[in-house]
Amino acid sequence: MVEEALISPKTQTCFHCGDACAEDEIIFDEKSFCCHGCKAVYELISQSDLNQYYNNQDLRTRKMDNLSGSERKFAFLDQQEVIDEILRYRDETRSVVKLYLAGIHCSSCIYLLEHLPKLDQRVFAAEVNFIRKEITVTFSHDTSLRELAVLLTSLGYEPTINLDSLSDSQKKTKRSSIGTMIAVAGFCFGNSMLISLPEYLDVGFQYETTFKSLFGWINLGLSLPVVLYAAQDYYKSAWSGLKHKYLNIDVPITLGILTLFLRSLYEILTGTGPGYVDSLNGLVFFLLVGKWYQGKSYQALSFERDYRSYFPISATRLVGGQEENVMLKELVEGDEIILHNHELIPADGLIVSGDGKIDYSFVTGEAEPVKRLAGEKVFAGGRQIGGQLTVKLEKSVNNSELTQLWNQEKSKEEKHQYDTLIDRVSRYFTVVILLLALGTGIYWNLTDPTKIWDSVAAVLIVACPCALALALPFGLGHGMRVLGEKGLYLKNANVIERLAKIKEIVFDKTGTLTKNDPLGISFVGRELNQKEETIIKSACANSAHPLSKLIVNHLGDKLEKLPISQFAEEIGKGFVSEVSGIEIKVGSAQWVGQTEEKETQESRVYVKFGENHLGYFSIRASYREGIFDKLTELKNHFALHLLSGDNETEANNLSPYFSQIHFNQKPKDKLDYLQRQNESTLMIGDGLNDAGALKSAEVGISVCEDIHQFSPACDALLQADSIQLLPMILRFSRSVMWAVIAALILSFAYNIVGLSFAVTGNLTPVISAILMPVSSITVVGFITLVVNLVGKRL
Amino acid sequence: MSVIIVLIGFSLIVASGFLVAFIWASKSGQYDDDYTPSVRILFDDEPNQTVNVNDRNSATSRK
Repeated sequence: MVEEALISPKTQTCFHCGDACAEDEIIFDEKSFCCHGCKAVYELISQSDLNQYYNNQDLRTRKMDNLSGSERKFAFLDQQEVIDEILRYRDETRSVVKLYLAGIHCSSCIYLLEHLPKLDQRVFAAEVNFIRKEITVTFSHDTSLRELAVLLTSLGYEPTINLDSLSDSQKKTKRSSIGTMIAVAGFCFGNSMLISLPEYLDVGFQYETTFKSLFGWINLGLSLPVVLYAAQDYYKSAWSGLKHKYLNIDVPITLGILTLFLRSLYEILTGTGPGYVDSLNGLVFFLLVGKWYQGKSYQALSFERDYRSYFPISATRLVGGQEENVMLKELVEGDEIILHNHELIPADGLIVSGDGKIDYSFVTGEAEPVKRLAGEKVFAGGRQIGGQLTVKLEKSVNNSELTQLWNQEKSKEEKHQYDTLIDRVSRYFTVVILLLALGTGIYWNLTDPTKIWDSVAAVLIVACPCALALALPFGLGHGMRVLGEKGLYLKNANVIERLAKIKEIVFDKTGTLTKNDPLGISFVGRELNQKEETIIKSACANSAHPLSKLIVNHLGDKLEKLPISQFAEEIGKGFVSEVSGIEIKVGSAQWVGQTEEKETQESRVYVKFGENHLGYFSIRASYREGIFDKLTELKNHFALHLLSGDNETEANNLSPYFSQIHFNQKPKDKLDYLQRQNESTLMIGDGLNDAGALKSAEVGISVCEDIHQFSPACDALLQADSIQLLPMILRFSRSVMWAVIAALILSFAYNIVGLSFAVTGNLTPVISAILMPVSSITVVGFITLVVNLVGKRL
Repeated sequence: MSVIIVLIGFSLIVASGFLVAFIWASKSGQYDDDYTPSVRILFDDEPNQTVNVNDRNSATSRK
């Protein structure tokens, strides 16, 4: 953009924002600025010796979105109620706030934002978290939250403040607590190993009995933090499983932990033995590491967005002719609200005054704004474009159609909670172990009753499925990382397991198979002059056919519309009309009397003036590169479906690849369609219009050009360029699951070896202390190796 | 041999010290962001006049 400016000095670009300067260019300091806002920011930046900002090309070309509008836009930040919800901390002199800035994208951003105190003396400190795109600002009460937001916007970093950002901050605490748990368990594990060392090396090392009992007591002390604190999640999970009448993997784990602990307690208290404290601590440590690894997900990406992420926090309510800002949740039926240009309709309502031109692309994916006049109904999620609009609400925010679509969905996580591979295995595993313990007890009761408790406890200890519980987290964790390198970002590792079961794939068209700019139109033939274009536009404007509408849009708004004197349309062929005394025929090749070319990848609309063939409009969707090859590949293994919100223009191109194609699908239709599917279905879509479908599919993948941008709630985000890797991704998921199964078999082998010691009553603490870590480490090593090898071959 | 008791006592105290230090660091958010500090350290404290003059001198002398 900058180079262009150099070549043609006539069109100056703004030194600050990079936009082209209109007639009212401002010259300041020998530099051009497009508006006073840019000039002011330049002054601010240069005064504060922050000129490095301008050395960065990316930053310079950033648009400063309607600076003047931001004052009004952030008006809601003056409400005490909003302030209270957003601020993290507040005392007499200062406040701390954490804001999400979508614009943060490079190190210059960090530079500029962290120098905020230089730009505005009333800001005390600013700290950026680049990964999360967050800034933590400490500011004095001389300035306000609103002024801060405007300042950030003027720098090109508009803070995103919406309903969603009010209700997060819970997620993080959970992860940091697992870190603490691992630290505690690791500390206790290491030290108890050291303390137990003399016991392992018992041969020839005669130490006094006082040491023996002292070491026992220290060990016991080291086991308490593990049993009481670090392992608590396993008890909770096992208990909630039992309450729902499921034997999940945590049941045998809990059983093992408790047996180990009670057994050690008994041995140490009575002085009969050293106990199994080191095995116990090691077990919990390894399990927690596995859990942490599996939970390692992409922090910076958001998979949980629903309508709340898109809705603003407040709206402008009209009360007795006065405008006031209110929180969205306070809006009730019957309130009148004012919508300005580019504001979102928060709830269903009727237009009271103003001309509505409403862009529902957010809801339906339909790009064309629709006109609504006073008295007509508007739905939540639409965006007003143009002038001011007064709307009387008929429903509250939570009862509007759009929000209902989201709320009626039951959580998929709930559905899948007890259906993972490991839980299915452990259901049998637990039963077998309990039977085995019982059998051992009965056997020893008949032969040597003194050994009953020893051997039963040994069975429960050795059967504790440590290696089993580690195979899945590590397998899936590695798989997730490999996929991340390829451009597919999973919400959590369990998605791989569901991906491996996919039988059918449902595609959305626009934005998924095609690029976001849906249709490319060009005129092929001799060049049209303005008069001809005007005539074509005037004629096409009368046709209801989707292609005619596209042509009208293509020719643009500048052309006036001429009155037509005749119009006759034949559905599916074309129309004939008369404009300004010229007969014009528009339609298929056959309609205008030309020979039709077969095998075209585009739709053609021919134009004929009187007897002159002018040429044709070529209309083609810009499909993503290589998509058809991949569809052919996928077709051999999966049933493919297509749901498109568009009309049938592309039907011919697509029908060879899909077993079912449905056009003109509304968001609700897509949702219903997905809910009717019996087989495991993968939904691939992009827009919010797919949100319901993405959520109700077994796996919902959202395709996006930029993964940090807004995307609907989904299980995985797929980078748009990586969509051709889809067949590979599905194959890889299956391989990962096979690798996990192999690792499970390996861990069963260890269990059988251990059990053979246990049932015969020969399990000494040393054997248990060796067997437990060795089995865990080999299983983890095995799965790591296999998954990475498979990943390399991708 | 009884010196072992003292040794073990000491080693446990030292080890617990590290454990507490780690927990404190983790709770105070030092592991939350592992990228930004690596960029932040590269920023010059104050790109003030003297530094600029030096830069300009070295640039011209090179020419």
